[in-house]
Amino acid sequence: MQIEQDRLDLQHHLFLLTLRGKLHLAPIENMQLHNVMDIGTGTGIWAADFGIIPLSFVFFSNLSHLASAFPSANVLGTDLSPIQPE
Amino acid sequence: MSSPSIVNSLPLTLSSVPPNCHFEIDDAEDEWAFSYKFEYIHGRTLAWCFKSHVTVFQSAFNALQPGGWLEVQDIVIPSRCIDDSMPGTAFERWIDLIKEGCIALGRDFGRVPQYKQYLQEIGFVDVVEKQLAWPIGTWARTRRMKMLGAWCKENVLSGLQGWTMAVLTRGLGMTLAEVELLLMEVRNDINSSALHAYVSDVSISI
Repeated sequence: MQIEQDRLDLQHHLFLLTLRGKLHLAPIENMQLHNVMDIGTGTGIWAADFGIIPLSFVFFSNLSHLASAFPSANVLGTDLSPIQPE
Repeated sequence: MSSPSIVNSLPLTLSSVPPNCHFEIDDAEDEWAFSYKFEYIHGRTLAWCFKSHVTVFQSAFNALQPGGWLEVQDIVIPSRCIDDSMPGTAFERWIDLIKEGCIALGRDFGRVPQYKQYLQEIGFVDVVEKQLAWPIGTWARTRRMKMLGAWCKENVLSGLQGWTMAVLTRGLGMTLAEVELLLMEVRNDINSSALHAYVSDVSISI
């Protein structure tokens, strides 16, 4: 189980590298986002990053396009499995 | 979606969750019962999650504010090859067995290429499909593709057993030992620079 969760986090990083640091491609940058949902959130890593990107990520990655955090939005992650942190 | 609850006691993979982010245990195929609408709904790698993707996309459509966006980032199954390096490999045999196993189990993992059509039929407008690819391994030419390929290879190698075991044992009646033997050969193929396989990704924004 932990192996799969580690893989999901690795896959998240693969998506970030692919999208050059962005969490989305939809043109939402200039929208007022109040409520955001992540379906099948898994470990919750996308939802947490979308809320605000952790400092550790900024320091330890070479990604220069860290424009994806939306600290003003409420982000809800849903999943069948309770593998998200509190 | 009737009785959401905030959970969890399992080992944490995130070191911190921002205060504006929370989680609920829900089955997205059940009726959605949120008292508010969303401006943006995101879903990633949902290819094997649902009996009916149309049901989930329809619920998302109903739960979006006018002008809101749904974005789905997903992986096209099965992987393909850029050349003729796949025939005769264990990797090819693995793909065929996964397909057979899925059919035996009545599961359809191959709907991603139809997402755009599903969404248009539901009534989404301005549907944009963007196709991307990850090489599996470092065989591609450019530095960026080698980097993505290295990450993708790690992702495939660590996911391989989990994706395969249930499908081949329950679907096709293979033994654990038979599957392990197959996966050993598949890992060898993936680690070999002779196999030029890739994963297609599709990102759809609506």
